[in-house]
Amino acid sequence: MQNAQVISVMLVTVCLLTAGCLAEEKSPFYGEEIKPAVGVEDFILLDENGEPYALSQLEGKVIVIAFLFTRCPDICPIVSANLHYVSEQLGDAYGEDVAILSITVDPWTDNSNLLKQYSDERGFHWPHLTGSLEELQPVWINFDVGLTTYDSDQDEDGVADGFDRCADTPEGEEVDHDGCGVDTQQSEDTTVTVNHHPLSYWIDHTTGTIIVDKDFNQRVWWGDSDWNAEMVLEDIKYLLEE
Amino acid sequence: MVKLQIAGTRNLRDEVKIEILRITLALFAILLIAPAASAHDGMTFEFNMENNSVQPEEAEVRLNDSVIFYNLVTDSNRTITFSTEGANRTIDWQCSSGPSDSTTNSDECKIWFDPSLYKATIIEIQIYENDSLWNIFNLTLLEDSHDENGPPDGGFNLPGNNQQPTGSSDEIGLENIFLITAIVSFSAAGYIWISRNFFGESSNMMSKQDGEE
Repeated sequence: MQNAQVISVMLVTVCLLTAGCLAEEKSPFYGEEIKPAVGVEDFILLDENGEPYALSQLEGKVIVIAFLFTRCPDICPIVSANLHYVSEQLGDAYGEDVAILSITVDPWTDNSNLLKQYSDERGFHWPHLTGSLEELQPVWINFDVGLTTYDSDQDEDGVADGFDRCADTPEGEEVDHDGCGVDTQQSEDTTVTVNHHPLSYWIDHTTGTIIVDKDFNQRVWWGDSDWNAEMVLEDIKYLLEE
Repeated sequence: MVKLQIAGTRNLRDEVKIEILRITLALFAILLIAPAASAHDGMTFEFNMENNSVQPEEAEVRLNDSVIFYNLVTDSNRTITFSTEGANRTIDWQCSSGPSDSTTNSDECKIWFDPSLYKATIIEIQIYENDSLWNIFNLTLLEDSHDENGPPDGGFNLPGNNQQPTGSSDEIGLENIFLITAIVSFSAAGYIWISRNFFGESSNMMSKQDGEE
């Protein structure tokens, strides 16, 4: 009787284990699989040359889409550099079978001229898109981009706190492009640089890179802090072979 | 009585006229004081010519911006010069600033990069101190190619869903519940089996020994 009870418990356990294994469907991607896949709605934005750019022209290609802005000082340059690396590693497939797009989250500053300057200076060859807030908002929503602007400026030096590396600049002192006073907040061995950029507002955005399959479905999501170029390449190759 | 009424009406009319005149003058003053509206105002950058260096040492400004050079030393004149290809012709610019003087603006030189005269380029600024070359630095002049509209008042907020895809590995899905239940059940079965086959026998043996004694 005791053995029968033990065997029963063991059988239930095996059944549950089997059910668990069957239920777990392993993702074929290294990035986060978007499940169920979300369809991409067509859009027309402006590229860095000021020309209209329709997503529909990329039909049949795997598309890598990143949401960035030119003033972004930290994570965006890394993502852009990774995208550049991916484009180079793809060889002939890049352009023919795979496309890369950067879409701004800062339409208030990033116009076509600025995007052209940004991409030319860095040697990026993929389209950098912008548009009006009304044009971009549906795209952000489609790709589930969250963003918030704020203009808090603790030391009132004209540089919003997000950009400001010196949050206690003395009143009235001119600041460099890091928000540090050019007279009192510079270390001796650094070159002081000022530039004309609107730093009066900061943008917080939930960032990620989305890989879209050949049928315009969002399939893979890579958080910017998890970006691994080699693994992104593998995910792209998987979608190319589908 | 009638005369008083007429006098009162006249006083009222005069007061209204005076009030209208005041309002007109105030509006005129406001029009004079207010600057012309501009889509994108230029910025002003300041350079401090100190004892041994110029701060900042590099600058990136745009057409329509202004730059002011302040001479901070009290015992030398400084002359700032540059030569650059402008929009239509070569521009040779020179300005002298006297020793530091807080009571006048004789110690400063100001230049406005008029978009109709200048074009985007890198300008080599040369500074002479008492007629000998003292400092050279580059000033990058960019096209005034960007807007500065800024987000709407109160900021712009678009709540995303953290872009966390559904079905991510962080979620506790049905399969994970099965797995956890299985592990717990397996552990329980193992515990029961071990306790009945080992501890059960040893406790039986001990109770037998107690009985024999």
